Amino acid sequence: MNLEYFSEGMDCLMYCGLKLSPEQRILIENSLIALQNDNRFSGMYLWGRITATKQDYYIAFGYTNDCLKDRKYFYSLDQFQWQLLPFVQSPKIFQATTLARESFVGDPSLMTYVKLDPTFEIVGNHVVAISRPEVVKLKEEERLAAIVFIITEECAVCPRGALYKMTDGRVIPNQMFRGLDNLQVDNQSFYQLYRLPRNDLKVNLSKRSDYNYPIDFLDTIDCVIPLGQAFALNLQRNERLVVIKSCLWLGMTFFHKITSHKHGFLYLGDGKKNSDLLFMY
Amino acid sequence: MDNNSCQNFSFDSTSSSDFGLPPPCVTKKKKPDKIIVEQETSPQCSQIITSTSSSSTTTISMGAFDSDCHFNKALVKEPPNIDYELNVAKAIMQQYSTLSGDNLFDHLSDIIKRVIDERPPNVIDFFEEFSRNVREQKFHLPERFPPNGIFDEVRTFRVARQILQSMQLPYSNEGEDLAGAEDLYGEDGKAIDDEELRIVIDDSMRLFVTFNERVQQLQFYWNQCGFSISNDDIFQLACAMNRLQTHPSIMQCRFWGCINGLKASYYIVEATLTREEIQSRMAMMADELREKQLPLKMRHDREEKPLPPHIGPELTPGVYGWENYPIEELEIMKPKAPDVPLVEEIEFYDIPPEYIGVGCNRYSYFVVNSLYDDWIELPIVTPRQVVVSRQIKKFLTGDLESDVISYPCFPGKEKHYLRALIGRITAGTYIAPIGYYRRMTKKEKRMFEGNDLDEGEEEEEEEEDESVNEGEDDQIEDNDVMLLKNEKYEAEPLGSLSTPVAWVHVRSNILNQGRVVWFDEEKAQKEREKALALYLKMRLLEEMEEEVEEEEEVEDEEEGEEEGMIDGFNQPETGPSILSSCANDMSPEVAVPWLIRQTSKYTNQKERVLIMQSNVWPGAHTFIFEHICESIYLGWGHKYYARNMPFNHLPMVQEEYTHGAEDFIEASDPTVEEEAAYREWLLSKQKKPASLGEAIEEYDDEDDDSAEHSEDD
Repeated sequence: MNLEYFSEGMDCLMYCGLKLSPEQRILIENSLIALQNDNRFSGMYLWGRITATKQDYYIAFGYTNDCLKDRKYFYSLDQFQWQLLPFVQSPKIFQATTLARESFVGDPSLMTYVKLDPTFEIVGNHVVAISRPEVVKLKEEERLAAIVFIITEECAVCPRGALYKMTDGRVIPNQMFRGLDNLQVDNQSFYQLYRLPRNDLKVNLSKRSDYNYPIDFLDTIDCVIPLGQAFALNLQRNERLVVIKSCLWLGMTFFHKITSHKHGFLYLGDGKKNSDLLFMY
Repeated sequence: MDNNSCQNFSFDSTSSSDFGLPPPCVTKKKKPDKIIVEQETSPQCSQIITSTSSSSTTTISMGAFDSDCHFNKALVKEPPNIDYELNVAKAIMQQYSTLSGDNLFDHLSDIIKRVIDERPPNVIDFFEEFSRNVREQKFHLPERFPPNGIFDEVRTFRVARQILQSMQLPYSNEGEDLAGAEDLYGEDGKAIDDEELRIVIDDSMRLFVTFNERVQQLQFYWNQCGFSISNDDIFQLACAMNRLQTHPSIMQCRFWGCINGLKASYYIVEATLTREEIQSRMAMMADELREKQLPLKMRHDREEKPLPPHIGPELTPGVYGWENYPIEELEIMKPKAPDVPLVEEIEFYDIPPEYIGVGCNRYSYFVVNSLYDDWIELPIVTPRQVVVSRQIKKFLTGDLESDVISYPCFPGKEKHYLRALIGRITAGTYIAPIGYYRRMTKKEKRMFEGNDLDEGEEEEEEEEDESVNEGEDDQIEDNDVMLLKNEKYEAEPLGSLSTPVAWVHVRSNILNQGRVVWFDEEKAQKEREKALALYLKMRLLEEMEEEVEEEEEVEDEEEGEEEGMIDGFNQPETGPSILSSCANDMSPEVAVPWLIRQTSKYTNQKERVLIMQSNVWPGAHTFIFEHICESIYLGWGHKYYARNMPFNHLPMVQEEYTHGAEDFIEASDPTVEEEAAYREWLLSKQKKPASLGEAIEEYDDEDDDSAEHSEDD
């Protein structure tokens, strides 16, 4: 959630039931301003909180040039000292993160061992061989980085038109964005995923008749599988505020005030994917 | 020449810009000019002039340009001239689009105007977007769409009206004068008086209020703790709860929490009904339950269904060739086929739910989707619903009447599921520090149940109770009780409270059976069988001819008679008792059942609030600040699972209908003689229609022939 309208955004996000206590709010807001200043970020956002048994992780990110490509993530345990999250590349770590059963503890240097699922070798519909499940050593800091990346990829939302692709390929927040209007708010195809597009540009463009190259390059949330079940959209506060909650990552909440440029997402949860989603409708 | 023209150009442009900002009176003067020019209809200017009908912002500059051209035309004659070219260029830009009716000139001037007026940052980066915005907004100019013609109802209007209605404001209509309005206020005043009166009457019950009912006060703490519903909603919630509170059958209500749904979320209020209401409902419920728990054969509403006359297309009585028999004989004959299989009603027995006011149904719950709606009471919860809801995990939709599609099949609608969830969450997550609550003494209990106490004596006895029972230990060891606030509780330092050992559960645990008080199924079954046998005997005496063989599993309901005769067979199921420590909360899924947080870590030591968050039910919070300890639930209504929920698998298809050995009877194939007899019978049957059939065929042939003839013709 953007730091520029921090407390206002917090109020809007309260429809998930959770928010920050006054001390946390003051600490985080001010320390993030300091962090933005230190790093010369042009945009600074609070990403959310991941509940851990001892101490909670607070995550923030900022960007300088491109708000999709060069985001830098930070985490903090004490809400005012921010450390850079490591960049995780190994697919093993991601695999282990999605499979880890234990909740976060709150100690970044903690090492856990995660048993991956066994792999099956299948020839002609018959299981030929089962490999022993691999055990991966997982550092909590890396796990945190991986889970933040996964959650952002899968359910960070922005309204259509909030991000703008410049002619040089950079993506920046659209200064001209005036918000969605009455007719558009409750349509899921007017919300996009806040990530580098995975679909082909043509696919994304052809979804709408009034496509706009610098805006419609992002994937929309109505195409997230399971179709129509991945997000729950609600109108609140005299239907002037749209709140989208992710059903896949419970705790991810997005708000957008209609006909205003204010929007943002925040994750307040325990970093557990809702694997039962398909059975829950 | 070139230079000259350039100078000319620059000069002209400056002059035109001078013209571009004339005082309004100038434009007025210009207007007749335009009209004149139009009348002239000179070929050069016609295009320019027709464009004057554009939006008002551009008419000024347009007017300037027009006049410009008018003057210039008088001055210069030769075509190769910068003014002429300028005019041509402008004319090109002013060409109307055949699709939208716009022209570029207007659009550009609009953009420039907007840029200068609004000064958006970095406009060059978003120029395309900006230009699109400008055009879009121009399309929606209210001049083009007169407000009386099309006025779309504002989205917020509907909600606003509902909110206003829900507040029941004393509207004074135009016909009414001030006196009427005063009357209304007077009525309101009376209502308030009534309310106060009512509370005075219920003062004996005031003693049993164990929670804080003031939402706005609690909201302050919730805000401190970092969880709450929206600030805007809290006042509405207070209003809505006030509406509920003033209902005569409700004694007390408190805000329970909020459960998110896909389309809407539920605000939930936990209410205690008044004694009279409970009694009247109990009476109704008891009858209904007794009827339901009776053995199937004994129920009154059961009507005998007539046997179906036959099954399948046709049953042939007797042997082959039955047609040869006369009808009278046929009627006596019995079909050789096996009996018509009848649908057997299988007794489906349920453990009876607990009565209103005890066990799981001690409180009633009221829900609402939006705070300006009327509260809807949730139905009582049955043990089966609790049991099944433990095996499934569903999203609530926000519609109470929607179906719960699940396996195993949930017995009820979403409202039942919601009620079961609420019961489970309440039982699992309501905690308080040790010593915060105490059990009722016997006298209090009696008073709570409203037995044999006169109004006058009550208060005196209360005081006595309090003085006498201070050291008494005659507390009832029962899980199904309501706890009272311990008046002598002393606030402990948060340091000593910040461990689960210091906390106890304050709501009764729900057993695996789905009830708070264990229900002895086997004993009940025996009693039902006995009752059934007795009943059947009676019927046998009444109608001697009726044959009965009944081994159906039947149950009878016998609440509260726990200390019956033969208790030795089955141990009553036990769970953690009501004031058991939270330190014992262990489950294989959750390693750390309670998270302990404080609202401020570094500052403000004096006003810290301690929060206990449940990990078993994420979203359940309890906070304590000195003497205020309250629990609330704000979440999705899902229990925590480390990875995924172990759903029950569907049974194999063969298992759905179990069959014994007698279900499939092997028969030997017909012998040659039997087949021969069958064939013979078939032939005899075909004989009669055969002759008739031939005639028809012939007739058909003739028809065909005639048709052919006609074709030939």
